[in-house]
Amino acid sequence: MRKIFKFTVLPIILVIMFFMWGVFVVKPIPVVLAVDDNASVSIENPLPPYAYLSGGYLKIDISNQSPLYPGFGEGLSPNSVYVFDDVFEIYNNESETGFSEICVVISSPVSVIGLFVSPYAGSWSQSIEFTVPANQSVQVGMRFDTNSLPLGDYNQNITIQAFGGPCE
Amino acid sequence: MKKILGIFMLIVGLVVAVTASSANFAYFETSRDVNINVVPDDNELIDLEALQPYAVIQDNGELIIELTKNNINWPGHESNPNYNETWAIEEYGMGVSPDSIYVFEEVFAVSNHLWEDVSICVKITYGGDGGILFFTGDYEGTAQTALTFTVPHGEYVEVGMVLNSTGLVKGDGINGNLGITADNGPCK
Repeated sequence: MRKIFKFTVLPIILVIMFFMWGVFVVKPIPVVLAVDDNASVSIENPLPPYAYLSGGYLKIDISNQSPLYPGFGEGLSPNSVYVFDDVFEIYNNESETGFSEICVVISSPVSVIGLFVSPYAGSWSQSIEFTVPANQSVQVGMRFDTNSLPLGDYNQNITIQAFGGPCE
Repeated sequence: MKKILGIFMLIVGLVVAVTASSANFAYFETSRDVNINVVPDDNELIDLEALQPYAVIQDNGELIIELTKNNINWPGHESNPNYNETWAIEEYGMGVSPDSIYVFEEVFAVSNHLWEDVSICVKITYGGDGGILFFTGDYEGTAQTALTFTVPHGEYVEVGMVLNSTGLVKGDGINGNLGITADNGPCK
């Protein structure tokens, strides 16, 4: 009788722990909610025309595939450097984040894509870090260097991280 | 039984503790797409367009000014769709003569096809062997080693060149690089 008891207790405990696990895991704040472009609920906002919201997510697109493509200027030239101020901005909506300051880190894995806090003052980096005060925005610019790129489509990802509290 | 009850109480206690604290933003990380298209010089945001056969867009998409038999536009070039055998045999028009000055208007154009409605201030410089000067529009007798001009949105400016082979002899070459920079806003 005791043996049967032991065998039944263990699965019960495991089942309970399994259900509890869902409660323990802190869900990450969704970066953007599925809302219309007009509702700025996300912390990242595109500043047209070289960036837009694609399926609710920020996308930087300089090609004739962009919905903002005006019918001319199909892309960037080879062996060139382009610098754009104010491509997108990061906004700290305090009612969402709960913090009067958030620390944001944005990084690019390649030197083709460089980042800087607008306005451009001559320097850029593959990784930038800045604090965004409550209900304010910081504008981010981008530098593109097509020196090593062949003709054609070029796709990359940039990573955006945000932490509660000011940057140390 | 007591042990099981004890464990249950502990579990319940932990669950209560976790749900009691409000979920608070702590950290997030995400990845975003960047898509750019690298296109030939005459299709991009600030186009360089060849207006005369002396300038040509190469396979790598870059504009080159080439006054030699290597330019595909030279009538004697094998790959020229209008290949003219006489030019190849007689070696017509393969370059400029020594001790001469040539003026070409409208060799290439710089146009402003940015997606924003702004003018740009374009500066053209030349580095390399001597004897090359630039001017915009029609030739009026003067040209410079460095040229600065405004290109309004959606428009273009033609650039001409003066080639001066004074002091050079047959077989010599004039080689160099064109540097082109553009800044937001009209030239001041």
